[in-house]
Amino acid sequence: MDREQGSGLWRKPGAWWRFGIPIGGLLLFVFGALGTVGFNVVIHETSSDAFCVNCHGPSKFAAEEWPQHSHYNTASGVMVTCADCHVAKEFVPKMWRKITAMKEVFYTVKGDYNTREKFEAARHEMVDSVWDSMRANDSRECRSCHKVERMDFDQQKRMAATMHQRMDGLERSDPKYKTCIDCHKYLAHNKPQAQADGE
Amino acid sequence: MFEQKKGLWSVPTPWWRLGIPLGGLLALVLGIIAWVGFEASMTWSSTDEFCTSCHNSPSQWVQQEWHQESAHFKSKSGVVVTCHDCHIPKSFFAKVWVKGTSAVSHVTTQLTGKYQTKADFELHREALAERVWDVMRKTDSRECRSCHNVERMALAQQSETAAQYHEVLQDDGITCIDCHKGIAHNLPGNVAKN
Repeated sequence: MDREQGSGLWRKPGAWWRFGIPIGGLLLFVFGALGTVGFNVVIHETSSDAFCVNCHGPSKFAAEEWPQHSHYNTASGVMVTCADCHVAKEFVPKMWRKITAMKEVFYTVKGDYNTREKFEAARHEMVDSVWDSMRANDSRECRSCHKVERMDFDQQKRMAATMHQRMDGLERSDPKYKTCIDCHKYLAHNKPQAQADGE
Repeated sequence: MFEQKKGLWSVPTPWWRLGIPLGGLLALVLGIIAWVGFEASMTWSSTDEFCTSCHNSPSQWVQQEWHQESAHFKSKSGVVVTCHDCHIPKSFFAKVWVKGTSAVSHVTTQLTGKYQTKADFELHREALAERVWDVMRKTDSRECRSCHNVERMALAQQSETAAQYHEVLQDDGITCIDCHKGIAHNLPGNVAKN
């Protein structure tokens, strides 16, 4: 085996070339950091309203009616975006939501909901699936902004204040327990219309 | 020539050369971990617990008032507001700048014991408040606006005066903090009197 004369990848490099080892290491370190930044940016950008309504599908139709609802314009003008209600803030649930969003791409490609009529027809089903997941996680996305312990009950209607305090005192397993979405529906989108007045 | 001294730069055996790609991979993973760690430290050092963790510090005193009477602590809808929502920018470079510069001044005043007692702090409250307000005026109340957007206000739900002011907000050189002072902390004595 004559290493001195080898000309392949593994031939013994010249002394100066060996600097490539620490430099390459540093480069890859920077690469890893930049990759993470890039990943964060992608995750952030794919949660923007502009991205959500990009596809001609349910998100777009739902976004059209959103400005007429109470979570769009508020007294204090607090910004709410699609992602605030529909994408978890915590890392693992957020990633899971991003991955399952692939089915939305699939439906868009197939053109399942590409007209308002198709969207309205499927609305019952879609709304149920969103509510089910909100019930299953105790309205986690509502609670990432709204906390019962930070509510000023004096400013709320008496019935609302009573309900908020009562639910806060109950266990989730209690049959009388209600989570946010059980009462607070249609604060960003329209009610599904009855089949009859659909067209 | 080949069997040289056993130094750092001696020629390794073929198996050892696998260290080059493996080391590269390791460096890549380390780079990822380092950035995640950096982000985590940024997040962790922006929590209310961290802000108020210095014993006998202005942050701790103002937090006490914040809990008692602030419209930004308890609200009708229970929307959570934390120290950093008002005091640390959301965008990256501004955030790093504010965290760096405020860390230096906070740590310095803490170590030199500028504010030993709440009375010391009260003496400086007006100057401190003015400093924060100046920054907010300069940034056109950037941190207020990272939650509150004038275009998203339902003016009909506001008092008539408020709605009028918000409508002309863009025209004049006036910004959120000019009207909305003392919404999270007590006003300095002199300002409160006026």
